[in-house]
Amino acid sequence: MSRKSERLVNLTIALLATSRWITKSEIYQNIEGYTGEADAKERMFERDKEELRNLGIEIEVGTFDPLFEDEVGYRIRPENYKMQVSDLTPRQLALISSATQSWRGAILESKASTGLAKLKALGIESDVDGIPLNPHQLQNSDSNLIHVIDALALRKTISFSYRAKDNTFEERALDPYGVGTKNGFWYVAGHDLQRRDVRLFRLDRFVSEVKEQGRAGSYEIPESFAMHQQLASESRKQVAQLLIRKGKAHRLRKHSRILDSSEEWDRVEFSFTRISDAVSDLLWHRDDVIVQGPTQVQKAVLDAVDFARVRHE
Amino acid sequence: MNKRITPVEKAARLLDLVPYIYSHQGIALDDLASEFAISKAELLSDLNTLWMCGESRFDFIDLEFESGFVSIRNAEVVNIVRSLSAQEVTAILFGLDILRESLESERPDLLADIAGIKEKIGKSLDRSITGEPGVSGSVSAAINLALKNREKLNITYHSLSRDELSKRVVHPIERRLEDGFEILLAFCEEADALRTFRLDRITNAIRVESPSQPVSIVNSIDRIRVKIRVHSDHREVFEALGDLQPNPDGTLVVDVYNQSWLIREVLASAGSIEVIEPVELRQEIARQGAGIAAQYR
Repeated sequence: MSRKSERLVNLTIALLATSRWITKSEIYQNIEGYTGEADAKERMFERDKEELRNLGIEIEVGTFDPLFEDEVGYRIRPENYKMQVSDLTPRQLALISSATQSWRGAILESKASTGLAKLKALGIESDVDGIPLNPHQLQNSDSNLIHVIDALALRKTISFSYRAKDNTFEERALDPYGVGTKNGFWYVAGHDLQRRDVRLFRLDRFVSEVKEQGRAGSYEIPESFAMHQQLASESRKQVAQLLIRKGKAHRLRKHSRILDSSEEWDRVEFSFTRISDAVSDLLWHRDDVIVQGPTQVQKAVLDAVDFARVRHE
Repeated sequence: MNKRITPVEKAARLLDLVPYIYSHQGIALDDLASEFAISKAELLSDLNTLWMCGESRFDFIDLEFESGFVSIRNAEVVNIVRSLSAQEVTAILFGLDILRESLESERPDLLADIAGIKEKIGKSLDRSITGEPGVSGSVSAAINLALKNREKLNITYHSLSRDELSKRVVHPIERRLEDGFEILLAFCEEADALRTFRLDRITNAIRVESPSQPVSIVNSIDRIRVKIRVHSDHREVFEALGDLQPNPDGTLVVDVYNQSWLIREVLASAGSIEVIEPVELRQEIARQGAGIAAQYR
């Protein structure tokens, strides 16, 4: 394993050190590790090139003589290899340092560390004065998060098996546009190739590894897309009047406005998005909630509770 | 994190070590390892590989680390800080979003700094990344401090199964992840027993600066085994009940700690979940269903 790492580092050094194009035969001659028949060397070199590109290292290909394209040469331009960020302030570096702490024990911990180490290697001093140290922890150990981020960065289509609403597994294909976390859940949004629309998926409902499909750069993220809008709560446009027992149903109270109160009950206006979800939420609170109207909601609740009761008689 | 890395990932780290060592000549091995979140053994293996690299097989990188302190020469060509990878930028952007949430609004200076960083390093990904923490920052901070200083905590807890806000004094023991939720394991003075609390349901936590007692009581919460049938498959049922073990006759077995919670889930499922055994629980569900319906007559 060290052999290959060594070869990749040496290849990078050689391509960075040169100010002219260097040829494959020069590379095979000067860098240890390219062994075997011409074909084997060729395959090895092609693969190494591809892997360095995946690391974000841009290898340029050029010809010595535009009239005779018989031999191509390669090089890496230092200005393309180099990080373009250089004007971070010491306080900004300290903030990044504090931010990366939130990955402790989670899937991107090592990436957060190397990212920070690279920024520190720019030679900026860190000024930790007055920087808060106790950020929240990000909880995620799902390797699919990494696959999605990589696909997103390269603009590659992904496919995966997903737990659908009816608890069956569906094959989905998606051009990922964004990744986000809210209330402890992780989400991916993107263009759903079957539904032909932007859809949101929860990462813990993926039941397979994410697979990449096709080429890099196969789509563009629309200008109008913003992940935080995808995760914004759905608007609660419908309302129902409820009686809620005093001191109970805190979850419902977050979306309710008190109209008046008696000794035992608060009469509230509760807002919701979908009636089916609302019925489930209301019944969860059992006899601490009574629906007063509209009739449609009241009937839906009564039907549902009858159904549950009959099942158990 | 001690997972195995690929030769490509290792090569990337070797390339990143070079400019870091250049800008921190003489850094101790331990410090360097911790900066890259790797073990000292991994770092030594990295340095031993890097030592064999160079511009040609007669011109190696000059690396010195036998003394326990690392210095580097003759690698000027790769003394360049590489661009951040997409994963690195993503990790930083999420971290910044989370940090921003824990900053108080009276620190507009820091909020402006964060916006500035995003502009500088994350422009290409900014629209695609958004993070909000699941647990309130002040609660999280109070728990961490109480654990560290072995202090008691005064918490306000929203118990979902009883649907009540209760105030309790707890002795924190451990913070951990269970089923994707952050959990605090603590000795609860009111219950006189060990209890687990979901962090996202702790609405308030205040440290009580008196030392917490070491606890040696085993977790003695009762568990009951319930046989259920699921009539129409809904993802929510699966997600609410968690780990279900199927029987040959199509019924499922689920272990629950809390009957009251199960009754709520069954009612909320509007008949999608049917409890078969224990019979007493089945009867209780029918009785409660009738009770709710009676409120409307």
